[in-house]
Amino acid sequence: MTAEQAIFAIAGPICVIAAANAVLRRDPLTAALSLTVTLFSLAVLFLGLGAPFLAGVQIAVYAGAIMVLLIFVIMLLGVSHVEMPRLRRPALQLAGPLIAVALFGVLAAAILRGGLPPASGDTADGSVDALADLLFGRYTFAFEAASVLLLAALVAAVVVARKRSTEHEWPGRR
Amino acid sequence: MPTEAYLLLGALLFALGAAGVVTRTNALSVLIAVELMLNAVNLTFVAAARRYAELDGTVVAFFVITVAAAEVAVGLGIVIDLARRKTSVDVDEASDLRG
Repeated sequence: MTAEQAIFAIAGPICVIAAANAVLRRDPLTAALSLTVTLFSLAVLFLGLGAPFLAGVQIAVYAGAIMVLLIFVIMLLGVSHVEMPRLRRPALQLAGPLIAVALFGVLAAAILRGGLPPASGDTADGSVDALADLLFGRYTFAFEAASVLLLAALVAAVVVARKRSTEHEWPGRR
Repeated sequence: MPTEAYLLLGALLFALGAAGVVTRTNALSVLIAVELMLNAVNLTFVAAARRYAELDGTVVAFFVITVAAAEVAVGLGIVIDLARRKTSVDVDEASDLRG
């Protein structure tokens, strides 16, 4: 058993169990913490796939920044916002598992039928050097576009989430 | 490990996330399920990058993480505004635009 197989055998099941827990729980806080476990096990899988820098980014940005933001908002809104069991539309409750099974069935059939072009024999240089060459070479435009996207998202988040100007904030208008 | 194993794992995570998006009614839980789907795609990108010895898949995974960060920032802003306007963050309640 190679190191990669061992990593997959351990992190893979953890990943799936935590993901199922994240989806099945009604309590968003439990779901968020389960998702964090999934993100960490995915980072471990990235390590096994020879992408150590991406694994680090996954932990720092995803499991770190994004999940902290998400959990912060969950706590801000109050953990009492546990969703009620849905009584009105049981059809949708049935549709969830149905969609999951159908989607996975189609994808699994497509994957197992083969059709993947044969792998190239050599292994990629997964170092930060090679990654930076690509990111600031071929993908420079996408990189710059991403920075604009982040700025736009920043402004949008402030605009959407700020308090609406109500009457008393405008003393001139009555 | 064969690439197919990673692709199957990614497909399983994606299907779980899709089921969550459809089933959950709490807006925050829906966001969490969307994150799960994004990560499933990331796994397939990295697996493909390894199989074909091209780093492009890894770079795309970086951009997915960037877009996910932007998506969470805007999404959480919308959720906060929703909580302010309605009594809960239930997506079924946010149906003002329904014809």
